Amino acid sequence: MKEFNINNIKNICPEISGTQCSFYAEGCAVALEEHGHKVPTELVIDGDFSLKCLLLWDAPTSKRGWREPNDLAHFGAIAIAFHLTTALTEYQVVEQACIGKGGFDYYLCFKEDDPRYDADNFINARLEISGTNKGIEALTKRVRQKLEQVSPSDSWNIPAYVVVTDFVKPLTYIKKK
Amino acid sequence: MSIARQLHREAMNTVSEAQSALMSGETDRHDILLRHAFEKERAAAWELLHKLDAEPTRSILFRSAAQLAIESGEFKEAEKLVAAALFGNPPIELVLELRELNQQIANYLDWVQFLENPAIVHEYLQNLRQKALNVRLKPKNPTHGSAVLLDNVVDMLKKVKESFFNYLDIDFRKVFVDKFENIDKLIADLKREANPLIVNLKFQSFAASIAPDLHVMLSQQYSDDIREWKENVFERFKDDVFQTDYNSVPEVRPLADKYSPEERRRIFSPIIDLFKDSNQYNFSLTDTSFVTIKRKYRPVSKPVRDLLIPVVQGVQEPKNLELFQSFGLAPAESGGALSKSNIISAQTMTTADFRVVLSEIHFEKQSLILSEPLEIEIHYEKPIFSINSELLQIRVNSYHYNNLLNDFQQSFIELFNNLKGKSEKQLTADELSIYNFIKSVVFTETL
Repeated sequence: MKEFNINNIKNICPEISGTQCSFYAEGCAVALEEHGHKVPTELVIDGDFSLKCLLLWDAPTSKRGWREPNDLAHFGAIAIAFHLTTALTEYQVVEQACIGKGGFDYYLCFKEDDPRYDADNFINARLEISGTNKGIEALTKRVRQKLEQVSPSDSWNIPAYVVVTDFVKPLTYIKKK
Repeated sequence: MSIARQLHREAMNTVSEAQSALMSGETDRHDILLRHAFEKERAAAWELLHKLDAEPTRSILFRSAAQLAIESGEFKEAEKLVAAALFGNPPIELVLELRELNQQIANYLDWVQFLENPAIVHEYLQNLRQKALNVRLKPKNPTHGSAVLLDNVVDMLKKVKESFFNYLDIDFRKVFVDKFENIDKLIADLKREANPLIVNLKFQSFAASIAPDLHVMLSQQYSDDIREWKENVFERFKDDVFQTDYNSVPEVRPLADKYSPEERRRIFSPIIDLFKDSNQYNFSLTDTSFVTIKRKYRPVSKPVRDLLIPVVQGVQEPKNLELFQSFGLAPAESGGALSKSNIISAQTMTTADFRVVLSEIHFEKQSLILSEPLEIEIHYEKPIFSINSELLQIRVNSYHYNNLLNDFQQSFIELFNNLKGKSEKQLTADELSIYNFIKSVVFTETL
């Protein structure tokens, strides 16, 4: 079974700063532990992929700055999405998509060893990430919402990945649009 | 990594630095960094000018560069960048976003052109001046040449604004009765737009033309009927409020028929205050050159005041009551309480100004405990006591001192309840400032 070390985000997303990667990784570790999960924890991946993997992480030194469950789910889901997108698709994370009304969170580009990689044309896919703490039903609903949310940028003619993680089980649903 | 991507990466890092600078209050550094970011992003975008198949990257970079150009005040550059983006093959949604951006740039450019063209600015001001209210203050007893006190000028301008805003509020509700569900929000927006401007000034002792811009820069967000109302509301305000002979009961009577006592109090009290005998200044209307007096105002006669702003319905004017000011000597620990034998002198007052302090506000079953005492100025002009709180925009008057305090407390609590019931977005700037003040002095509320 494939293993992902949550604290390893910086190595797979070199465009994102180390500080930010550590922040997401710590949020993810706390989110998992708040739901009673222990190292290693099995993560179920569903949707366009169907597999299981093991999540590993370093124990957070303090959880006092992480009290808000929605923040935990949000930032924790980013850490998991970065790992899974990079491992399971032909894309890597470029940067946050902050300007415009595309309805998604991150730009993705082809990995450099992909034959379609074009150094100048580096926005090749969209990534929308979300996290929940409420189980499968909430996750399914969230996936539908997110697929609808990215619609404004559908005409860009590049795929969108919606990656939603629920921390109860935990389970990540990945849907390509 | 391509040059375009490298430049784009540097630009985005610089944007982050600029945002950090802004958050730490370094606005100059923010502006410099933002300009650097814009220059890098522009260079990144131009790298892709001829790579028409590099979509959506190409148009995203041009759009991002255009956005940074706008934020750096480089509107012409922004226009070029949007044009370059549209010259390629942007996806349809990005085309729509780029067109929206283009419209935004066009509006900015119109505005810049407008501000830079002295002829247009002159024409604009002339337009406002033609519709302005031309007012003049002169000191009654000049002590410093013909200079008038700044306090008097501020007082006059505030009262004109208060009266106009109340007129606008009342008139809009009358004209568009039951037409809009969100009328409070609409009126708050209109007040923001109608904030009066000084469009001309002269030392005469103080002479100013006051006008809101409700007709030149007509906002497109309103329906035709509101736009029509906006165009003439200030004219009607001037007619109703400043073209009335306040010493003629027959002239004032139509106003008493047109507005309820509460509406009259809100519109006319601030203006009548400008004519008071006790003011240090004379207030008049002039022509646009401020030389010819168009209308002089004298203190309002009692019959007119009783008709226009009835003190309290059903309450009779007290007979044989006088306000006295006493001077006396008493032990310090008495706290100023004077017995008859301690009074050295007492005089009857026809006018007086004094202060009272309230530590609690009560009305019916509601009480507000104040965190610090509220000092209220009371004006007496025989036989009427009045409180005109500009800070709270509360105006009450009464023949009886106790009634006056009760009325003030009732108004305070009604104001508090009214503001508390609105969201911050529904509040005008003035209302927000009043509400913030009330919140700062109210310690707790008991029901």
